[in-house]
Amino acid sequence: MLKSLARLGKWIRNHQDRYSNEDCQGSVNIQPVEELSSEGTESNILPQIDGSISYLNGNFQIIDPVEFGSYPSLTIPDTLREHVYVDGKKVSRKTIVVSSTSIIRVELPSIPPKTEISISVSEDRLSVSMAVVFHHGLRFTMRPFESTIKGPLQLDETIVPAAAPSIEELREVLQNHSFKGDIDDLALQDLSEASHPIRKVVLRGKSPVVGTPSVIKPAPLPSGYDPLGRLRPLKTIKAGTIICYIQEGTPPIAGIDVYGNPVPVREPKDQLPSLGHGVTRFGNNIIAVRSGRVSISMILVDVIPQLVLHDDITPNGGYISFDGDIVVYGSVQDGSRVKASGNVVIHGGVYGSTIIGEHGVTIHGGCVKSTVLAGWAQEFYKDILPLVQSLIGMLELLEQDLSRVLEHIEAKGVTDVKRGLVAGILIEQHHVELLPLLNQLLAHFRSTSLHQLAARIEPIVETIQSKWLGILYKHLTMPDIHKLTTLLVKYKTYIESTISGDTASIVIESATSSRLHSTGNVDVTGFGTYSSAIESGGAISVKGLVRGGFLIAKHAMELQELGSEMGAETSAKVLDSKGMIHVRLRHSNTLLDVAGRRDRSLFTQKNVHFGGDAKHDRKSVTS
Amino acid sequence: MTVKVLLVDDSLEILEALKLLYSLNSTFEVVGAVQSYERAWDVIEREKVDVVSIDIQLANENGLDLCERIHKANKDTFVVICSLIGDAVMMKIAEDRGANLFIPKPMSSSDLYTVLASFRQFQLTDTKTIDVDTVLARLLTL
Repeated sequence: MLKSLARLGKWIRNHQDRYSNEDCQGSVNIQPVEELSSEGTESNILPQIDGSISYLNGNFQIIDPVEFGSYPSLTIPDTLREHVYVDGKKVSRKTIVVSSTSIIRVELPSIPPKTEISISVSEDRLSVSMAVVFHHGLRFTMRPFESTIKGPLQLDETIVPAAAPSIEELREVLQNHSFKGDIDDLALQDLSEASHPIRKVVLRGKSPVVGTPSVIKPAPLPSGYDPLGRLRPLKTIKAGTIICYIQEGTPPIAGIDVYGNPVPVREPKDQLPSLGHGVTRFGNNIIAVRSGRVSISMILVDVIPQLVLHDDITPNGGYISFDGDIVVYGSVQDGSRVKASGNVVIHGGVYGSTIIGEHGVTIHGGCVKSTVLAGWAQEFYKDILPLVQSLIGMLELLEQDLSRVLEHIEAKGVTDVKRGLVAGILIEQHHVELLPLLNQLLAHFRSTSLHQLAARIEPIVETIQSKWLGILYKHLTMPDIHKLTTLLVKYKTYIESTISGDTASIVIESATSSRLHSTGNVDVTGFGTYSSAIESGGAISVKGLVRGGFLIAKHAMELQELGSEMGAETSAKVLDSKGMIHVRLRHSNTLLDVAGRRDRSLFTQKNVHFGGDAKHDRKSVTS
Repeated sequence: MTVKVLLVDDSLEILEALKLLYSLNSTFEVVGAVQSYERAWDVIEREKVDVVSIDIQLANENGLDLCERIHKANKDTFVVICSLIGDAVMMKIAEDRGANLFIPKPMSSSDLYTVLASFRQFQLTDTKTIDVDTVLARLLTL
């Protein structure tokens, strides 16, 4: 009350100039109140009660002030500014004064809850996934407040959870997409009961079933020991033995995707090896048709016959050539020749003889003045290649000469019969080496008649025998010469592509004045080599000494001792630029060559590592 | 028709190895394996040699001298230099002195085929051009 009176006095003083007695018509002469005292004032002070506003039970209640009391006001937050109407007008201010006649309307914003269902098909089109995402809503309510002169308009938020879809709704979504397949009811149930984001596979097509190929499985084989050698169990079997069987594969089953389309599946590729001449198939069993050694690989199943000789082989025994393995429990004496399409194993030594094994040679003794070849077919082809190349060159030259002569005599009016003799004259007088070379080719063919690889040369042999031998060459024509040239060119291409094939190794105790040539490794296990020429398509290892001669390996060399203290000239070469020669003791006058990088030593060196690159070299010089 | 080969090297071990290599191919027939210049010349004078394989270092002699002498005496003889010294400079020197082929040691079976192919080519290029009139004359007598 006192405060109200003080305010009133102040107001009067401030506005006294404005409201003079003369200006006011019928004005009241207002005298300022100078002093206020509590005594005896109550009967003279007007009551001032401010108005109030409250919000309870969803309604605004506004009480106007009494006399000069203040009207209540409503404070509106920024977020609601657009949503409050007083007397039909949108409020634009932060605070608005209201009275009991004011009509206050608040439009409360709200965000409804939402449930989102999405569908995705897998990449292989064999399953459909459904995802449910919940977007919860918000409901706003006004916070009640008691009577106050400045009513705060405040909102309370309440989250309205989104409801999970029903199973029926989910099924309807699937049906709308016309998917085909098995619906997973459990997954649908999980989705319908979910309260947080979730993804489930709800429909599945039919997966294709991959078939399995047929494969070869080895059968258990009988085994035994050789009573003479007692070396190892022999893996030889008799004719009629089941050596392996075919395990049939399973066929593939096509699938169906979620759109109803078939899903094809590739047929499995059978992994069956070829069957050699030594086996046959009865149903799913592979049976040996001859006795011998079983050979099962990814490429071929065969029974390699084995020729076992318990005595020394001498020239009296003739030239031994066998389609299979040869085992000699003795030595091979001077002048003998042993050739096998499989392995050759000699338990004794080899003297002045030739040993050829297509798949490898093992000599438990040494060899002296002998030739040992492992990987014979390649050797054959390498031998015949220059001959074929020479023949091609000669025949092409003959064609050129024949063509030139025929053109020249055409103008002379020589008869056709006479013209047919020109090729013979040229061969007789100018191309005298041609027929002997052709005969050499025939000789090569005869020497390889054992091996099926010689079949490639048969058309050439037939052509030579029918048109070129004896006096037949006298009537050769240009087409005849061209035909033979063409056949030889094809054969040359075949040889060049065939020269690299499966490797075969040599294991030998020692070699003296011998030639060893293998398409695989050469392993000299005993005292070493002397004056020998050794070539390997793999690596050479000599545990003893290497004195004199040539060593050539494709990839690497490991030698105990190279050369001699007397300076025996010895050379070793590796063809691969990444290859390495390792020599524990290297004497002077020896040469190392790796892919053309050469080093000739004048000193003795120990522990030499020599490669195609100088940075890999290591050695220690001793003298 | 075999190709007669003479091997010249001061090392017995190398001669042995070379003989083994050349005997690999039945086309070649080794008619001699000698260690000196003089003995090599004896064989050349005595036999008709098609191919001579010579080492450069022959004890106290120079194999290139033998090469040059053979080349001057008979250009139809095919000379192969087979030596431990295998650099390009030496190859050029050997060629200038009449060598037909240079094979650095060690010699392989592939090198043997190179010798044979080169020899064959050597023989072909040595063939005289055909006289067509000669052929025609022969034809008319038939």
